[in-house]
Amino acid sequence: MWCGLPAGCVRWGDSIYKKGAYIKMTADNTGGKKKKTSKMRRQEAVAGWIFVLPAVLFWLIWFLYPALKAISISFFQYNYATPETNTFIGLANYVRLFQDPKFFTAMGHSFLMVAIVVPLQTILSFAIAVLLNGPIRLKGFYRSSCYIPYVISAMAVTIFFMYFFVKGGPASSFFALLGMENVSWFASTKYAMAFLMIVYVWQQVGFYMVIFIGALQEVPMELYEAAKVDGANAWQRLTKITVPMIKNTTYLVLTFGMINAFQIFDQIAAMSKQSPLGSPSGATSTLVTFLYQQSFSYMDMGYGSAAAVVLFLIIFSLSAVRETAGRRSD
Amino acid sequence: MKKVLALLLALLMVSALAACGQDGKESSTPSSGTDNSSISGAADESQASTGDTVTIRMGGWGNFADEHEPGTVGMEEAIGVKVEFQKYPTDAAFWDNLPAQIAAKTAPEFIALSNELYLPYINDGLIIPISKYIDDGTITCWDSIGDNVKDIWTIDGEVYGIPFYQTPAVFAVNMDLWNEAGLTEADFPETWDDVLDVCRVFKDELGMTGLCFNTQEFHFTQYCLSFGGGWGLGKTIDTPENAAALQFIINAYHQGYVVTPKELGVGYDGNVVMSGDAAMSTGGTWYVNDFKKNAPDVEVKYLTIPHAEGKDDVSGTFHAPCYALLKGGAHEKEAAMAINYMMNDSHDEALIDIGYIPVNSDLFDTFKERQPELAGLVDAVSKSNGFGYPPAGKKFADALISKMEEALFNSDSTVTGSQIVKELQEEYGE
Repeated sequence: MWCGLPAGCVRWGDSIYKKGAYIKMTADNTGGKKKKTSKMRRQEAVAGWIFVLPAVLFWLIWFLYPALKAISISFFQYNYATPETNTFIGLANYVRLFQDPKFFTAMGHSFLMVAIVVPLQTILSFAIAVLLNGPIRLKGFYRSSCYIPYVISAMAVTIFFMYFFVKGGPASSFFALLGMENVSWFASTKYAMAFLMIVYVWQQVGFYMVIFIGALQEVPMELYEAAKVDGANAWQRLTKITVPMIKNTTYLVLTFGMINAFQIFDQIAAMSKQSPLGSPSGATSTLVTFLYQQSFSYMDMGYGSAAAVVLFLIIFSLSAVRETAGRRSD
Repeated sequence: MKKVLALLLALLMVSALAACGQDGKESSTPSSGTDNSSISGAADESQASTGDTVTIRMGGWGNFADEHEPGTVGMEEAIGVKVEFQKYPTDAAFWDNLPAQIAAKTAPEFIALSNELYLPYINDGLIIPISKYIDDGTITCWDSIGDNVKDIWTIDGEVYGIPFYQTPAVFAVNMDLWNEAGLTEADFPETWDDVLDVCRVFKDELGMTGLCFNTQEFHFTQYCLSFGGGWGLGKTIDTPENAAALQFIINAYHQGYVVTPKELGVGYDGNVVMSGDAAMSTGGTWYVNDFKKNAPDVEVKYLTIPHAEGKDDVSGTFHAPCYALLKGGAHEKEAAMAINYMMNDSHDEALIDIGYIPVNSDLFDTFKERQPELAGLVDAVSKSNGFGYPPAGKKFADALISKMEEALFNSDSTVTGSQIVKELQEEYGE
């Protein structure tokens, strides 16, 4: 809508913004209101800061401070129950970390999890979203059914799945027909990770489906109609219109998916029961279970914090790579 | 006006945030793995004594209603101390949360603690000596406790806990399945080879696994001790006896005579015996109360732990949990008073009723009278041993479990008992 401003400009208070830069309204272009506008701008800035203050405080106290504290602890031999014994050891925790085969096993599992689960859940959730975005009956029921697993406790879902994948259970018996061993998957060093991935994907797909449905509804129908007129078939419309049009949402799903998959914990804890986290025999250990064990089970907070810092760097780097790749493809 | 309104709104939001923060602080204990709602705000309550009563907290895991609450009856009137219970769902949750709670000064004043993985916590100073309260007469029950249990909690001349019952490990047999397989009491196993023979009968007659083995350090230790081995606080991990014990488990499992709770999707061996998925398991006298409550129709016999051939003089482990003081408690003296009070006769009797042998040998006859099925266990106490885990404690236990899980749950594994004890000795040996 035309509102008296040049194309692409937005008015905010007494300023006009265009592509990130604002055009200051001086006495020349405002008719001598400099003093008044300056005061108003200051007032608005103060009000703005006051409004964001709670969120900023929250972020500082609950996010920034713990993150900085974790980084600082990672340079210490640190036991928070006996602070008098804490000593600065420089990079020793990191050196130890990169000499620890269990850390590399955990890291390998985390990457495997991300490499398999993220594409799988993205494709599945996209496919379901496309299906449920079409003209089908009981659409709301199906959408709710797909979303419900996401709001159920991960512990409960995992225990529920264990009864399907127990030795002789319906799922393990079915896979035995396909040549796999008929064992309890969650207790097998060979199948525990696959079990974990199945449970995780089943639970997460509904959430990403909702995000995809939201994006699909934003794609203008005119594009499909025009493509139809031009003779494009359903597959072509999907790949040439839908996929490019929801590209940004797909990037979001991939980033969220990656971060969440790196942080999987509850399902592993439920599988491990009273055994060490990552049971059986470390087959489901990840970076998060590794750092939790070191920090809390073994009270080696410095070492656990070093692992947490490495996990943060990995997630940060991968997110940055994805962001850069996304921008380039734009 | 707009500015004033904005300011007021922001102030409101900040105070709401602050209130959330306070709330978070108070509720941090339950959210970190505890499940007793009564503890909320208990720390504050304990500081603000109401009249002469001081409220303190006791932490632990397991069955509080039967094991600890009977000890506190009448305590408030008698000594002016009220105990609230902070129950953790598992021992792992207990140990994972306790250091953080101590650091945050939200930990309970005293805890119920088993004599298993406790050494690192004593070495780290989380559990403090209680000796001074014995010396000053606050704790008067110490002299009536048997020497065998006293020794467990006396380290380098300092007493770290007041044991409140003792019990040797047991070998539990589901008699319904036993009879169904055509076995009689004459077939009760004395050696592990006897156990294998019985397992063959179960496999042939009922097509089921006879033995339940829970992949927990507690159960591994029963086998090692009953083969004449043991961890010896890290000095004797790599011994032929320990290797033979672990190899026995590996072989029996791969021969199909053993089922683990893990592969059935449960965490507790008692559940496997209750559900009839196995007929026998190593366990403890806590089975008595568990079965009474959860499977009253299942008949169970409690035998002493079988031993390896030629090792007639050995048995399994010996449990002697204690009440211990935690570092940083606001009411240390009152906690010592509470512990002393809880060592009363009616508590002893309540413990006898659920199958635990009292720490006071004067009550052994009462135990035998009230628990005739368990009477034989009193004599097994002298043959039983402490757990003797290496100082690495939980790290060692986790490594042991992990290596054995590899041997059991990987069908292609060629890992042997000898390899496992050798690696453990290298990593955790003293």
